[in-house]
Amino acid sequence: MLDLRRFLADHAAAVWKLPDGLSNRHDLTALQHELDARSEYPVLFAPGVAPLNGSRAAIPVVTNLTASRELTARALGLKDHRGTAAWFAARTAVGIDPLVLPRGEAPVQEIVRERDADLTSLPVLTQHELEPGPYLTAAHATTYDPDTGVDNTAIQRCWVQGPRRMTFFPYPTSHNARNMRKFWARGEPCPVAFWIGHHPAVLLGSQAKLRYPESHWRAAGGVLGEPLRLVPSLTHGERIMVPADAEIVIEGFVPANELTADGPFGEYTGYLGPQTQAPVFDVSCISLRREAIYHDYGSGLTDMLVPDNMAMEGKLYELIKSVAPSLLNVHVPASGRRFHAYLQLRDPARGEARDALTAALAYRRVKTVIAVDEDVDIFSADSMLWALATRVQWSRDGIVIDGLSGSNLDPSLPEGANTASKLGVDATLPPPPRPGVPRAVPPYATVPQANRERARALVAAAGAGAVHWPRI
Amino acid sequence: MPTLLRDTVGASWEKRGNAIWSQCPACRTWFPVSVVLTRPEAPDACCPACQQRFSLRPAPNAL
Repeated sequence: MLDLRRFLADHAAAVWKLPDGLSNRHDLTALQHELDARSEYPVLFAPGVAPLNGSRAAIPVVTNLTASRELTARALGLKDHRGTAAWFAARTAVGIDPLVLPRGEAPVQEIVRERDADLTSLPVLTQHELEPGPYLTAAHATTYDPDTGVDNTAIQRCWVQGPRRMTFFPYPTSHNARNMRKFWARGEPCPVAFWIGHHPAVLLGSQAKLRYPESHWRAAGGVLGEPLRLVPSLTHGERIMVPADAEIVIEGFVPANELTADGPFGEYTGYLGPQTQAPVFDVSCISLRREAIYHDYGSGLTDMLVPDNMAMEGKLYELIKSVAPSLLNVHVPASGRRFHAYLQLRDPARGEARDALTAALAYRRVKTVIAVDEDVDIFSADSMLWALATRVQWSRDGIVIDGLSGSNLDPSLPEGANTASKLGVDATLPPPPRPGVPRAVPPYATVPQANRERARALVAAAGAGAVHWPRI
Repeated sequence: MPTLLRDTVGASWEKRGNAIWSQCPACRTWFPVSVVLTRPEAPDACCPACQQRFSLRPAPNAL
């Protein structure tokens, strides 16, 4: 049975157990910024972070859980993180049905607090400057469509404002927002359960990009490789199931049409999203595992970008492959936040690269897409820039499309714009003039393979002396 | 009326910023706000520094 504890135990060498005394304000996020700047991605385990109510620290914090593509891929059972796109598309398409446990057998319901439920007993972090207070950042909000009963899960930020109240900000176009508006249209509060902390495979599966309405439990099981264990929530029963092996569940209701200020908040763009209005959430119950662990995502950092970007790679792979069979792989780099996508194609037919680019640009907030051939490493910024430098004439190979769906959090959007201007770049080489002859492009400057292998051996033998060689 | 700061209007080929800044009337902290909070039905803004709540809604027209 896979859960957060099993993952931490299996990858103990990648976990940095931090000293006591770190504050719940900014300290852990500062560490994540420092580590991101160094391109080092240990999981951070902080046992001594005080809860909001100032009592003795009893619940440790785990963050930076998914900052590393390599470690996250290993959590999925993949040897190479570069194979995520096709793998994720396949596993979420097939899925595995969940397994429902009866109440009383679910670890996440070992401890139940109802009248004494208190959000401030959790070590919720205040991450960045100008944020108004502590936010749950890894709370997976599960709601359901009142018309069909189909549930939906998505991560949404929550500003903890008191022991039993927090904000809840489902993005207006999100599936959870749709469900909420349906309840409000009936004059009813929207039932919600938030679950926090699980194995990274479950976290990724829960971020699969699905239709509306469509439950995430099968997709999560597909990614996990086994049925996801679920249990009926205590407040909402079988209408809202929660993962039985999650660490913490917070249950309650979103009152109809009650809005309050929320934000500013550090977003995936790396900038602060502005203060806006958001619904409020009233707690009815908090349940936890014994010795629960509180999971936090570093907002706007690789920790948060990696899982969603990997899920985007799977979705883009599925979308593009249907129109461009030559698609080999997709990379949504953390450097581009969620706005960039790199497509790798094998011998595309004339027009196929542009078909692939157009399909990718249609997807949500993706704003710049670059298509390259198989000889370009889409996981290397240097390799991508080389392709742009040597394979593109902008007036011929750039496709600009205005008016596609974008993100209101994009700082480059003109004020008041509701759509974005997007760019596709065909950085592939022209196909051969006819089958069986070389492309009409110059060959690379290379050395014989034998000389290259001898050079490799010489470099390896340089040993300790190589430590002091300049790196730039 | 709390101060709101936004970019100037110009030609379509000139870059303009899309952030709207508000200044807390109590502690003078500047922070970014969405245009949503300037609508008539919006809730009060909340200063992230001192938690002072204040309205960014337009004043009702006097008859």
